[in-house]
Amino acid sequence: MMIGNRARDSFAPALAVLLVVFSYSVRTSAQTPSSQELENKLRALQEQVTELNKELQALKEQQQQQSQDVQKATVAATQATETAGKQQSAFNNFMKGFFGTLDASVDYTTKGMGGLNAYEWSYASGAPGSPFVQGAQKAPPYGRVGWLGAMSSNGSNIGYRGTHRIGKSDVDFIYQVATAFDVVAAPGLQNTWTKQSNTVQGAIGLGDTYVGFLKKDWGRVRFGELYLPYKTSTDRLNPFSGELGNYSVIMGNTGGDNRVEFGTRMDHVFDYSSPNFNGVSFDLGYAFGQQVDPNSNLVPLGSSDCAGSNVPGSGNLPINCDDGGFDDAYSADVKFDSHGLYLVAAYEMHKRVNRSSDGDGSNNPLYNYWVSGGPNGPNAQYLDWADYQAYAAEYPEAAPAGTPEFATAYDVADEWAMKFGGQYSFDFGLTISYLYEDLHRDLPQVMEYQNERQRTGQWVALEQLINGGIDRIAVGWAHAGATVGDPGGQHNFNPNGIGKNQANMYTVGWWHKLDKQLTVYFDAADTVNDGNAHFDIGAGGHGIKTDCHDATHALFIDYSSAGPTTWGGCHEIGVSTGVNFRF
Amino acid sequence: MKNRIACVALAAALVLGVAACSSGPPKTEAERKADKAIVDRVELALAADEDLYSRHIVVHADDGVVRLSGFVWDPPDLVAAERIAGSVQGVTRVVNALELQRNGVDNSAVSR
Repeated sequence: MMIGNRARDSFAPALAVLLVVFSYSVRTSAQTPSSQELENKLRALQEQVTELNKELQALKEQQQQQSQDVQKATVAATQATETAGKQQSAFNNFMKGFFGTLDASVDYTTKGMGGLNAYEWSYASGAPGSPFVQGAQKAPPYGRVGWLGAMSSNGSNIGYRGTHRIGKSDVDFIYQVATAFDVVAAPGLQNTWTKQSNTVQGAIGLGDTYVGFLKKDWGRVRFGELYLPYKTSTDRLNPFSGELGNYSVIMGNTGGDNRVEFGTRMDHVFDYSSPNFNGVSFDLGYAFGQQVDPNSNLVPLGSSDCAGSNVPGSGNLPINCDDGGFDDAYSADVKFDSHGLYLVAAYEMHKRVNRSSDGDGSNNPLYNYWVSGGPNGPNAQYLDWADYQAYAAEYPEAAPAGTPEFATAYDVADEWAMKFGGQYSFDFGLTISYLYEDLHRDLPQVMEYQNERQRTGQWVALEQLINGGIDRIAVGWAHAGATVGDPGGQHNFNPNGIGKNQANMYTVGWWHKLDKQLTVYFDAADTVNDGNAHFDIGAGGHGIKTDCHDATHALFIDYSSAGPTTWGGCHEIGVSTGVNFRF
Repeated sequence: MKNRIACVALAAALVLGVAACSSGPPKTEAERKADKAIVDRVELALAADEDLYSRHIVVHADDGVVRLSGFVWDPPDLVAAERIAGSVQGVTRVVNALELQRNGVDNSAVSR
């Protein structure tokens, strides 16, 4: 463009000069009579003018072409910018699908077993109905059961969540893949003397993993490995999730120890979440049991563990899923959430839960009574598989060739739980939570004496935001009511203490946000167990468990202490400080 | 058995029903722009909050009604996100469909 302008500007004066020259020449030629010369000069000048016009035209065309080229380049650049913007936006959306949390803490905890004693017990007459007689004292807790330092990875996970709009509809295909991993230790099965599982820590799919469909006005359906509504509906009432003393130590935990029966992630889950109707919503969940054995004794089809979250053999029964394996599970909740008020009710049913491993411990005087007639004796029908296997292992010479068949008296029954509660958040940063729970195991009357799964539970939490939300403090109290019965599996079981297995847990916590993603915290918990209770302080997400098991790891000492020896009445205390980062 | 059949039938009906459902009447360009403007304002407000980590909150707007979905990590953020969204100009109502992220291993297999 600049070249064209400059050429046009320089040729105009040139033309003027030529015309002056031409005029002068004409006047001169009039003075000189040579017409031939004049004609030649005129022709030459005309040719020059013609050439100059051609050049001028060429320059104009060149200028026009350059202008068009610039316009094309501008359009192309705009299109490229838009494309790059779309690509960047798509990339940003893709990256936004990644999520995760890294949480590691340093703990200092004690099992609180010091001073606990264990004794032999029997019936005065050798049969039920007569008074209990205390016998010889047994060995004290074994191992380092006092204060111990530890480093723990707590609920760390990473995953990807995405949506895909189906064609031109307003329905989304949704998906999530996650894994839970250990921040402070190598991945693996992490089987210990208190935990036996085939689940590989850190493997893709360990965590909420699903596919499904979502339509805003219809709700959401998912298929995958998921927590059920019973668990997720009250997560917000638990400010200590993943930390020592979180409410899962008692809430949803039917038998004490580390496993949270009504709070576990399940395989083969279908769930539905309703839309929100003016603050009201509900969720339905169903877990396919995929259980071939009528007594839920096998690993479900397609799973790596028994449905009760452990490997066959947990509880010292090498073949069976009889330490809490179950068949189908149903779960539902209904919620109201509006203006800081949250109300919830939830229900869950586990079908045909096999608790043969809850059989009478040898500390229970009944144990000796059952086995007094031998495995096929008059009382053997009340001795479940756990007792039988233990008896056979301890007295192989007395074991018959076969094993007794299951009967209704054996320990396979439905378990269900219901809970209701609420939460209110005040404008000044205080949040109050309360939860009541009722746990049931539908055993026949003849087995109720060993029903340690049926009780009530309560949870109260106060949480206060301070410094504009940069800091958060919370206190919590959980209470486990007495159970209907007790199989007496504790090494120090006291038959005079039936019903004396309540527990209280107290927790305090402080969280300080370094920024939106990074938080440091301090947490302390104290679980006070009655003489026959054995709740811990680490169930429900804290990596390192501090429970009522001592360090015994011999295969058989006696039935009750096979594998981990459980001590009722332990008094765990722990403090923990850690860091949590999420993205 | 009946329960299982009912559940499978329910699942199939939901999937087919959802999949077969088509979109509603299209909005005008002006309505779409108004919804988009509200979404932008709400997202900005959420991101501007000093304490709330809103990366995984998804905002939708429909004639002034804002729907929050996705997830947050801390229980107080469930309430905070709703409060912040409700304070944005043009928002008439907030539907809080946020979930709480609790995806670590919350359970442990143990014998007895």
